Amino acid sequence: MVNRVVKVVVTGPVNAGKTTLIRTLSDVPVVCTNESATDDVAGMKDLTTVAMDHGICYPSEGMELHLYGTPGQRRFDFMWEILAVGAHAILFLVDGSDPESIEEVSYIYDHFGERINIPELILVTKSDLEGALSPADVAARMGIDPSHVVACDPRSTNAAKATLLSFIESQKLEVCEPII
Amino acid sequence: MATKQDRINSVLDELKMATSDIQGAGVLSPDGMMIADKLGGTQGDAAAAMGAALASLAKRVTDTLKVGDFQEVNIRGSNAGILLFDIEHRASLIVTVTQGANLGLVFLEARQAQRQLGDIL
Ligand SMILES: Nc1nc2c(ncn2[C@@H]2O[C@H](COP(=O)(O)OP(=O)(O)O)[C@@H](O)[C@H]2O)c(=O)[nH]1
Ligand SMILES: [Mg+2]
Repeated sequence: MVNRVVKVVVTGPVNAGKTTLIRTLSDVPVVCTNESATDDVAGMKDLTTVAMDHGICYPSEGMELHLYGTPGQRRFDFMWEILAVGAHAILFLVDGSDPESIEEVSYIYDHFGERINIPELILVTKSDLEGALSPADVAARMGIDPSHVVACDPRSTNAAKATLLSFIESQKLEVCEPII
Repeated sequence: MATKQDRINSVLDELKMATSDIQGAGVLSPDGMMIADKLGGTQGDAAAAMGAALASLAKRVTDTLKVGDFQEVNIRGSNAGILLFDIEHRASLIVTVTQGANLGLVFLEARQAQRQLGDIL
């Protein structure tokens, strides 16, 4: 039997937790392109994604979730476009404790929104940190339907898998067979 | 005493002067910022980000397929070529060359610049 392959793009501002999420979810070794940060990102963390993260999750018999994480900085927007080709669903991550992250996710959300129309989910990370906004507040700031916005800690395997699976199941995605 | 930036720029100037097959050269950080731009034209920032993405992916490919340390990427377009050299995993040297460039000579010069930049950075 051929597995159903679902391609999921994971995007959002730098430091939102995209690479962490893919590492948590993947059942195979993750392909990462983490490089030393030399710009203002260096104040937040040492390494930053410059091309993509790729992992595969096998949630159930007959299904493969192919995860593609993007870089967060706008100068890598050419990778956003490359990685979005053929995607079935998209996750936007945003650091709920960082006002700049919430501002930036709107820009990224619009960028993709102008180019593709696929099921989307916004994951608010870092809800455990002081001053973090609730998913409802983030939805209000972004001006979008709050039912598309949920909290998720990408460091937690159980939380991340449960969130992604219920999203995939709820969408009845039109999935295709593997291309190669 | 010349600043680091001056020394990098003079390596790039020398490289560009070495052969007319070399059109431009630049040094970029691993996270896609231009450190020194002698590419000519206005695409420096895009070249830096794309160069960093290419270099990082090339590194992953050489690791995964076990062909040793990543050294360079060679892209040939129908009008010109682009070479990308690793500088001790701390930066990359990007070189644009003419169509039909004498790549033997270009590589010789670029490797020398690569060593010099490795010492400076
Ligand atoms: N406290 C806390 N830290 C988080 C959470 N999600 C991610 N992080 C941390 O935030 C950083 C995010 O880094 P990374 O995954 O590289 O973000 P990326 O730039 O989106 O790929 C890592 O140090 C994570 O451990 C969260 O929900 N709570
Ligand atoms: Mg990342």
